[in-house]
Amino acid sequence: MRAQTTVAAELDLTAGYSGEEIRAAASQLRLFGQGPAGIEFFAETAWGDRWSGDAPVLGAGISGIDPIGTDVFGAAYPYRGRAQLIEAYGERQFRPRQALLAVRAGRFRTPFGIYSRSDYGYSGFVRPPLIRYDGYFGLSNNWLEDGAMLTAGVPQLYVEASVSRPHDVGFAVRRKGTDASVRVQGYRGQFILGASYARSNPYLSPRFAVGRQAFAGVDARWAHPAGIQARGEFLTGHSYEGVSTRGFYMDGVVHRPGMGPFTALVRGEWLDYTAPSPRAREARRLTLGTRVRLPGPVTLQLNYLRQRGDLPRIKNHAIDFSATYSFRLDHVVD
Amino acid sequence: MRFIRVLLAAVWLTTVPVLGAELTGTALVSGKPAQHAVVWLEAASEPPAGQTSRVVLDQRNLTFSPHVLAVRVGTTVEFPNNDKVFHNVFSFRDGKKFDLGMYPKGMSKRIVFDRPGLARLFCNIHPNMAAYVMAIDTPYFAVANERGAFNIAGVPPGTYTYHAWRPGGPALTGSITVDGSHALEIRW
Repeated sequence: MRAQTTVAAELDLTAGYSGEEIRAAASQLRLFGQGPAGIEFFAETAWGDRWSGDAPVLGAGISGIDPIGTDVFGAAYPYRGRAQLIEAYGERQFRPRQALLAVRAGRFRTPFGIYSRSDYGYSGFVRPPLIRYDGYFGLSNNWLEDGAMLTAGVPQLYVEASVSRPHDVGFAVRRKGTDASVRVQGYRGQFILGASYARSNPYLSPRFAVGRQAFAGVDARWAHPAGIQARGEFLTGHSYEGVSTRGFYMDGVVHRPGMGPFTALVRGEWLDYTAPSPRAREARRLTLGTRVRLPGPVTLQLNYLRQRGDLPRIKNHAIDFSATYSFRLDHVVD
Repeated sequence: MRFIRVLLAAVWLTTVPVLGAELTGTALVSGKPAQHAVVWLEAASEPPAGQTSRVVLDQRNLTFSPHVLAVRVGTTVEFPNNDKVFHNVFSFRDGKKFDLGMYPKGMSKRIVFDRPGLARLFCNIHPNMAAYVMAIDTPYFAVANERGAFNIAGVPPGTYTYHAWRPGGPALTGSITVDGSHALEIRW
């Protein structure tokens, strides 16, 4: 049977306000579907900008230094104030018997359990985990790779491996070079377990940062049929020689019968960047929130954060609010 | 001899009584086609039975496909994840209530729709994903296509109470005589 050629277009428009006195607006346009010969494609562009009444952070303009100086609204895309191509790739998936084999080529998010439209950015958390934000000396959701990725295994246990060159879209832009990553993921019962390793170049200038960047992480997800999901990730590694970064986040997502359009969220997280003084950083954060799915294509997200540490601009308490309008069109090519 | 056998078979096929009639119709909303409208006939005397065929409600390209699925009570519906990301399927409000948890690409889970009613399906990860499964306690049902047309085959001639439902609209009920010559037009 010949596979249908399908194209879907999605548009998201988001506006938000944070108690850290930051306003944000963003839009994402995605085109994806299935083309000839069973090749699936995905392309995403995003525009996002943030405004603050305060003076820019010292050092703005240096790679890795966010001029606003906070990770608010940074869950899924960068806020560079211009439209950017985020991802563009084709993927061919094969299913010999019950096995899983796929080849992806193009520009994609760094394969460390990070995928566009995956759960990390769409469960209702307005901010990314501390260990996954530009400039916090961990990984970044805004790191992209130009290259190829191979997936092999069975749905219950498979390996993803990639070879690529960095093409980052956030404030932290890694130096050119060859990147490599490998991820193993297993699924059994209600558990999904993953272990990942990635090597790349630092995003700081060679004057400050020598050697290679390397990170290893383990992540787990668990879902209970009563509407409770838990997930977490532990990350350790170094963004250049002579320093180290460790951290974790743990999320709880509760949407039980009777909660209607409300989903409750809780996240606890910690980041520890060890470096010669005074560059060392340490931060802890607790997030309580809710996501509300309104009738029609509107989703509201409200997060309360209690945090402490020595990241720039950090306030002990903050409230983030955002609203997203989504629109989708589907087309089948005869 | 073979020719005579074929001839006899042809004569038999053209003379046996028709087992059921075909009910065709159109579903309209304000004069426009009501794609995804579900139409079914009450048939109290029909024994409850699940469909033996495999019914699939796919998760691909961040959407459920089909958007509306009508099945007979007792049917097992498969929910494969053919996307590159984790998905979740849950139905908490009406009809069959369940939560399939979170599962990765390539995996599939299944649910038996063992009670009549409308199940509203969502994915807890992707708020824009939504679908409907209408479990119906009769074998006589159909889902309207993009032109609003539907076709229920094999209906024993007689007078029936029909029901119609569409996403976002009220349920309608009426009466129809099925004899192969009447079309049913449903208007919202």
